[in-house]
Amino acid sequence: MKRKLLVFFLLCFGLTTIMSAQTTRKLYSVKGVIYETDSKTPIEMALINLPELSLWATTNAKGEFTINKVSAGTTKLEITCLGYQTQVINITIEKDLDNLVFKLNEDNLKLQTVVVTAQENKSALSTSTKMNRQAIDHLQVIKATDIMSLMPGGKTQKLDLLEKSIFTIRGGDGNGSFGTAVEVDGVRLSSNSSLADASGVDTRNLSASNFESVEVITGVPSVEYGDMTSGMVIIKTKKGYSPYSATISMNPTTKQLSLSKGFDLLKDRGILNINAEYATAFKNPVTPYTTYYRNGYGVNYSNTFNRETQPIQFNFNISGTIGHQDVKQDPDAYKDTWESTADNAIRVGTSANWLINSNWITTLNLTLNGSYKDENYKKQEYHSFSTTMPSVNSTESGYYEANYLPAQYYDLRIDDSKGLSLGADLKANLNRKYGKVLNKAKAGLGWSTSGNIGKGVYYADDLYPDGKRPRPYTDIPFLNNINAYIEDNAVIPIGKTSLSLIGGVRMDANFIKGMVYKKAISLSPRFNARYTLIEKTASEKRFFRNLSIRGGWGIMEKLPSLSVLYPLDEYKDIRVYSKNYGTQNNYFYVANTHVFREFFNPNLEWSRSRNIEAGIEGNLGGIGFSLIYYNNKAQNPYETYTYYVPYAYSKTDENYTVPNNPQFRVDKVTGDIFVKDLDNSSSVEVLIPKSIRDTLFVQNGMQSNGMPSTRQGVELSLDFGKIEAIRTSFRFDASYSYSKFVSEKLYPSYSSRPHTTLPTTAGRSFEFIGFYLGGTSNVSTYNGSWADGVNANFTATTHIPEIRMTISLRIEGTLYAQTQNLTYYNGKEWAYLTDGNGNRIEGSVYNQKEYFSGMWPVAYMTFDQKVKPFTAVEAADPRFAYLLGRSNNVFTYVRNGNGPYFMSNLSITKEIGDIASLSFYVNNFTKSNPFIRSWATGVKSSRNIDFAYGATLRIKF
Amino acid sequence: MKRFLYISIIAVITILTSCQQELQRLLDENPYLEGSKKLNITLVYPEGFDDEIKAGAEIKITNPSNGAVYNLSSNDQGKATVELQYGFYRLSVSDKGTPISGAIPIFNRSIDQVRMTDTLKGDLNLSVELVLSYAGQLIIKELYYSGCVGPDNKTFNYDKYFIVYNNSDEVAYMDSVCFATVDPYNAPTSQTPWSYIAADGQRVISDTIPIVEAVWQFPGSGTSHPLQPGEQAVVAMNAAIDHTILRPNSVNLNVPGYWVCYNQRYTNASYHPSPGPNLANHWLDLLWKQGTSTAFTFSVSSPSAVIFRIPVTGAHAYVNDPANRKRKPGSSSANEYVMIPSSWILDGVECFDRDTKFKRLPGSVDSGYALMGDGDRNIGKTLHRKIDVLATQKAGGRIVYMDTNNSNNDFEIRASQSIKN
Repeated sequence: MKRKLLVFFLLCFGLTTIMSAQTTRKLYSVKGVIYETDSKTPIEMALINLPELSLWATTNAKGEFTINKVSAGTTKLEITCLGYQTQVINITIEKDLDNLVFKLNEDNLKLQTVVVTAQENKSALSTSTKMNRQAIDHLQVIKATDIMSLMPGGKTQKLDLLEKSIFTIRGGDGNGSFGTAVEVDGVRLSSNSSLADASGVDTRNLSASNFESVEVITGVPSVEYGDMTSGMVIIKTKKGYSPYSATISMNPTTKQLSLSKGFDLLKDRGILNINAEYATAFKNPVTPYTTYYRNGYGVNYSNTFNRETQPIQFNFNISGTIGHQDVKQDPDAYKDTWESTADNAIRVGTSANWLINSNWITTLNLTLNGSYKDENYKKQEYHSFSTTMPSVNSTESGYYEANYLPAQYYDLRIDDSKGLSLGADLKANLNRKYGKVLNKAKAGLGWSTSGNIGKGVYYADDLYPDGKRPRPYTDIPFLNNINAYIEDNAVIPIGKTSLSLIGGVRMDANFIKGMVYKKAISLSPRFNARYTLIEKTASEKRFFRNLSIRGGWGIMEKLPSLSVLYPLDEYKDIRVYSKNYGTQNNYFYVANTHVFREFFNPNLEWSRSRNIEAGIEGNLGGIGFSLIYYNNKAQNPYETYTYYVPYAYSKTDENYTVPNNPQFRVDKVTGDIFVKDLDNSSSVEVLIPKSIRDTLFVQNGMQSNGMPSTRQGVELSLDFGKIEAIRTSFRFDASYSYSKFVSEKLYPSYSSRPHTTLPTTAGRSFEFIGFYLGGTSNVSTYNGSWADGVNANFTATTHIPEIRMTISLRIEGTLYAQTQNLTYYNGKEWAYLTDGNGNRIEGSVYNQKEYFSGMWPVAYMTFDQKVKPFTAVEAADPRFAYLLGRSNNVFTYVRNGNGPYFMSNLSITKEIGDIASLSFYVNNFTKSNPFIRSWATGVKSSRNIDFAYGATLRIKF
Repeated sequence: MKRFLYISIIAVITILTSCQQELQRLLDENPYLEGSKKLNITLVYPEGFDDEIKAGAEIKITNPSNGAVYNLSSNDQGKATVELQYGFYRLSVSDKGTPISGAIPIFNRSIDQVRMTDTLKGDLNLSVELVLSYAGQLIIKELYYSGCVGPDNKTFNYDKYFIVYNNSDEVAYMDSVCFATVDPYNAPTSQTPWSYIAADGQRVISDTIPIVEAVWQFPGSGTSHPLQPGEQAVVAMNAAIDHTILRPNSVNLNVPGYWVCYNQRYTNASYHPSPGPNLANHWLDLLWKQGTSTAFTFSVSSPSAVIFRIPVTGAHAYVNDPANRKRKPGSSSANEYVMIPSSWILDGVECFDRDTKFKRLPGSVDSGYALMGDGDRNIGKTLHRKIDVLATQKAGGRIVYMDTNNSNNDFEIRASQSIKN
């Protein structure tokens, strides 16, 4: 199936190139000048874009631009420049246009229209929401994830730089935030080479004061974006000429200072943007000992070469941060103990965009990038034990004497993680018009490699705690990724309407030296369609101004991270002998170590998400609306499946008397311990008798796939436009989300209890493994749940250009949220009702608050490794009492949720002359923190964030 | 009228003659007459104690009217005979059984009126059913849990211990005596969840005591570990080693004759390192362990410790029977607690760190609490019983400690550990 799709699209691409040789087109040139509205000075390095034709040009020092070989017809023209309001017009090209003049307005609060909320990108085929600089400034973003509150149904989070900042879109996929991708200026921030649990990347170290725009793409994005399942966040930083600007941002726990300037190097030598930022945050103003620092800097050079014929837009960028988080020198902490995390990063990127505009290729784009992230974590701790401690650090299986740690000492743990990644991407576009049909074809090829060159986790002076082994990251090879994609977009006008179709497929392949999984290749096809029924410009005052319907279907695959492809050794240590001898607390410890590596699972599938989206958008009678339904099914999320194998080992009798000055010897294989008396020269080695031979289950892991889950929802946004009389525009957005998850997969569970029949004092281990439905255990009886809820926000923005002020009032509300636990196995309820004494009661477990719920494991197994079903015989046998599941509350299956609660935020931005602007915000300014009762338990809790405020001052000079 | 008179006279005579015998007997029963009869007493021991040594039971017969007192002793069959003058006597029997697991079974009975009169036909055979109760021989003499400070100024709590003491005048046996702590670990700041509102509206602490985390038991099942009157046994709860090497303010627990709560299931090598070589074979058995904790938890601020016996056969079977374990009322945790009836408790101590806390033990075990505040923590102070001066004098020099089942009266704070020298 995948192969057929690939062949089909290759064929399409080939046909277009063949057809191009035969079709003749009428081509014209477009030339013009761009000025500033008030001062009439020419604007340099403004970007003039014909997005539908993928043609562009930049203005030179005199404000002049030239675009050649433009095909005839009506198309959209977009002019953007840093610091100016974007202009979009429709232009009809029937001959050479030589004398176009455009005037751009400065982007400040003197403009009639100012947008401080998120804007839906109406021309994109997938759902794309964009926040521009004015919205980012008005919201006073400090952490990149703060902008998520402007999404439909988004909620304001606590502004705290001490918590990680990880994007999650539409609830993520089965692996949570791992499937959300973040890109800054075309450079992908990746957490694939992280050895910790799969999670999204922490964006705390991005300098928010340098953001130009943030775009969030959900739904079914273009195949240009890969290696993600739930969505994409695209961040662009400031590029272009700008005056000196300084910002100072403060709230009770955070301070941020930044300075930036865009230098015009004159004589068409390009523009150099420099920015620097300093931010510091602490947890508690009373004891400021946990602090986070971020020193960000960035240098960006951009220029256009070869303007007259085939321009090349060249960009070179270095940015980075030096930051760290400290918990240090707290006078209340024990002396000389501290911890610190460094958060240093440097990103280098260069890109060249070449407008060739020939018959076989329109633009060619090459990007090279590299990033280095140093997360050096250090922790100095003081340990005080009662006596000498054993520390088992052996890396081979067998019986070994342990190492010893002193009773009182300081140790320094260092996590030396230095992530390095490099990448290169090549992209080609071909835009052709065939009669009335506009066809845009895109193909790309990319490569990236990422790994860690740090020393890993180690302890200074070899003082490794019990059970820890050194893990040098340098032992782990780099993870390489190759991707290729091809996409075709045809825009077909049908009468007065137009139909836009996009189809594409993307191939991703991951390689790592010595990896266990040989074929790590995935194919993701994606389709989107948009049917525009009505598209009128804003000046035509009709009732139906815009109406379009769109839909998309796509498969997104997320390749596994390093920890899945390259599993590390795991160790199980069991102490078998410990002896205190002599009069000075001398010890001898022996432990049995078992080394194992994660089991290779030949049935492992890549995590994929099947996303469907359907929406209707438009503008009726001045009210812009957008209604989108999405349905994401996350199949095969990654999980580590634990399975158990029986393991036998022998312990030695600790009661056996040893001499005061002994010499011990341990046999690595049998575990025999011999002792000899050093005070008695004629003594020989004596075998200390064994005490017991115990069998228990040891756990081993296997990368496997969890059960699928569905997330559906509806997002609505209504833009009521501006009511001139009160200078206020209103916006309403809401989101409804529903998710359901049931797991009928069986998971084994083992407890380190004593044996059920032999006396506890004999030291034998528990002999049963229970197989439970996913999510259940002996304390939890439900194996699934569903949840839904509605969030709604209402924003009123008042903008008064005469006094250059914008005030926005935002009311955020949760209308309801509910969830219910489910029990389901083989078509029936698996949990049953029990009373306080464990007696079974007839009836359904749902929606009753009188009885507890109980549950059996589905099967069980003992050391003979034969899995047997768990029946009433076992349920009545007291030996299996620990395996029975029982919840200890009566409201497990009652619908839980809460009713509505609201809060409101106020933001004010005022410009003072042309030099300065002041922003002030108060979150939850009415201090609304009602105690909302939870329906099931009756427990009341307050859910709104606390009252918070802050201010920012921006100065331009 | 006349008829009525005749009938009534006849009725009275009939009644009188029919009760004649009884009347006669009553009139004849003259306790003040001279004469004596034999009283044969047979002691009936409670179920399960039939093979008790029946000889030597103290039988005291008193005649309240003339103050006569007879002290008898039963023979091997549990019988005693005495010739008594006519009269009404009060009988009381008191016998002590063989000490088992630190307690002496006591058989008591008292009968307020035994009628010895001349109307008895022959001897009076009296079967006295004895009622069983226990007298505690073993008490918790000292509880050291608040720790001390090491030379590095870090608090040190690994040297906890308690001392078992034979407060009676008979040899006691520690075999199968159990030691455990009562839930919750620390004295609760509100009513313990193991209490309930009784019918009269008062809150009552349940008479079955919830044991948390673990039950330790002295090994042996008979007479292997005797404790002479006035002798003590020190039991280390965590590390039984010589702590004074590294922390001079602490104690040396590596002394021959001391005991230790050590079992390989507790793997935390700081709380439970291998005990010192002087404690060989003096390890308590781990009878029951609740969960997966790696160290035996004992509160360092306000513990409640009990020593008890499980009289039913098979202590292991008792703790393993799910019917004897319960989950905490009102909690969603799966942790289970072993329920011990308060009648099995030999001695229990309730410790508070503040007056405002609530009790865990019912009044029959400890009706008060011993107070060691936060200011007394970590400086080597211990809770120790006060000496009962009167009883010590009576015992002729063997120290007897106060044991009124009320820790307010019985315990005091001592400035340093009693085993520190």
